[in-house]
Amino acid sequence: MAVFGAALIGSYPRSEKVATIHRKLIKGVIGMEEFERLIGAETERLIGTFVKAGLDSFTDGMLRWDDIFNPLIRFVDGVEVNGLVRFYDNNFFFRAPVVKSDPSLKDSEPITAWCRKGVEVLEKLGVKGQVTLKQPLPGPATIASASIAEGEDVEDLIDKWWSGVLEPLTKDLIKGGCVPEFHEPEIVWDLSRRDLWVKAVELVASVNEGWYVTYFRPADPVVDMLARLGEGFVVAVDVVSGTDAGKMVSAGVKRLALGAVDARNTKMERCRALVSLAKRVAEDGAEEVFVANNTLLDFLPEPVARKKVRFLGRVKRRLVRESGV
Amino acid sequence: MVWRSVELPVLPTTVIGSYPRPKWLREFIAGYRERRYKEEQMREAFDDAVIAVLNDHREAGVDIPSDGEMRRDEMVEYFAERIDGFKFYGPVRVWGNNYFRKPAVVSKLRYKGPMVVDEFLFTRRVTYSEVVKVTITGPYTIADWSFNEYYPSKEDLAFEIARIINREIKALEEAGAIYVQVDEPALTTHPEEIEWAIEAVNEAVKGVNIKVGLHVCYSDYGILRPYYDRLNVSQFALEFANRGFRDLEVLKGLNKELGFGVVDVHSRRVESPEEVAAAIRKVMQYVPPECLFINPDCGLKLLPRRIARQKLRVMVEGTKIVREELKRKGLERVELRKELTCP
Repeated sequence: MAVFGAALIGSYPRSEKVATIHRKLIKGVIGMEEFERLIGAETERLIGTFVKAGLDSFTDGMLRWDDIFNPLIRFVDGVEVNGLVRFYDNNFFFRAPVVKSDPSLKDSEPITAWCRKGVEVLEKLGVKGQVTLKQPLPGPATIASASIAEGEDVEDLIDKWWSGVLEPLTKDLIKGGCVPEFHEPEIVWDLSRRDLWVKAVELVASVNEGWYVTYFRPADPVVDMLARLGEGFVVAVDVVSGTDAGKMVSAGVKRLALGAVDARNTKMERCRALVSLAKRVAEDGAEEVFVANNTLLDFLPEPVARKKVRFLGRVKRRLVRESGV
Repeated sequence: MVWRSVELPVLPTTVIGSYPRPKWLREFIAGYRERRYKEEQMREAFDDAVIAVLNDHREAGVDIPSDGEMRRDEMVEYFAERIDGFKFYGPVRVWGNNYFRKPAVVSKLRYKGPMVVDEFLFTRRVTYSEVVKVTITGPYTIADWSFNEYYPSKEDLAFEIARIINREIKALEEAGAIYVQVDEPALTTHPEEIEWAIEAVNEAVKGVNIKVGLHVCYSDYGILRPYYDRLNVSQFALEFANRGFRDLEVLKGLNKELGFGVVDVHSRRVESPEEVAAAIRKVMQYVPPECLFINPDCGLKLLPRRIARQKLRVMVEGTKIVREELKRKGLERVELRKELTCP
């Protein structure tokens, strides 16, 4: 019998209050210390709402992050931060990393400390051990493809980003009590470089645990790669974009997050449809099935994202009620 | 409205549309939102701002100005607020800490009446120029930058918007506008949709008998290239300064007028007139001068006003250098054209 859960993938939109805190930092009205205090309080409040909604696995909302690359790339030696680049087909832009020499994670990186703070919040709420706190990171294929690097090929960049930045950071995060959540939209976006992505998936698989997230396009063409991640990974796929979840299970993915709540549309999904889908995937042989958002909730207005988070919890409760698990 | 012919200097200079709002206007808008001013006072402030913008354009020597889109907070929001069927749930982030109020389509869209005709009429009344450009956001971009809760597909939504935009452009034509620019920055962002996206633009300009330009920026123009012939507009206004005037090869085979972007609106560095002139000479290897308009890459609204003003000046000064060269070859004047092909 499969275990059902509800999960949040990636970022949560900045509320007006959080946007104001960022604005104050940008304008120099507050310093980093005060920013951290205020954002920490907002993060704590947000984690509380995720717990209350009934989510089993979530991030801290990434309220300190501008996109999945920033501020990570500001804490990497050998990398400069460039102008704005479109994030796939979205009206959303990120600052791209310009690789000047081999990327290497700086000792001053704050991400591990943010993860520990999130874990402390779980302790404070009395839910540590009952829920999973994840730290989103760009996967090696996605960050290598987003990099501007003269004379470097993507294959080398995948290796360099992994060994110099992502692998050491992942290990620190796991030690800190967070589960890494690798965002790899690139492997479903550009299928022409499939051979490179095989290698990128293998690198991620080497850490033996985490969430592996693809979105914006169906994951069916890379199902064989996803199946190689092993049982330590939950594989999150974009069902809204047309991924055949049953195919994932048939290929050997036993822990699956169904990205069935559309983070790129304000329209609310129907509870019954998601429940049916999750049950079907469980019947196909999945051992653990999460209902989740398909991509970053940052693409939605905050009031709608709030409703969708609550909705995820409602779907999970109904699944548990109906399946008795 | 009967089309009228207007003579312009060769390489007519124009703007893409938006211009920085004066600081006093931004403060006034904030005050209006706090209900410290009445609607009538706000309208007067917008009118005054348009006059200020036109003055900047006149001083710079721009041949075809716009009203700087002073009344518009954002290019999709503005139209969505004026079409029945849209709803706003709140802002969404576009990058960093920058947001726009992305609208959601929650019911059938309906044209409520003219959206920018009053803008045009006021601008025409106070402008120094014979022609003004009126900008209007295109159907594909409005559809792409909206949440669709109602229509079965994005294509259905885009065509519904196209029919509404078509009514608006015809209302502008009726009011006496002779130059409209459809802004479609999203046009090439989903290559798999380009076939019907092109037709949505055509639907928006169907039966229009004035000059229509199409502005597309920060895009892969290679995606647009196979559709040059199919797009029923007389001009493409494209961004080239930001990409260092690379990719001019995509202009091979262009059989329409080109609005050539010569100053980068994403950089505060003010180009020199010589740089502008060099860029124009370069593009003339692909597009004949009688089919060239000169403009900034995109709207100037994100720049400080001082820089925007300087950029317009160097754009005009650089253009004048090339005009002198063309004068020696006997080419001094061109006509405003509405034909779909050029030459």
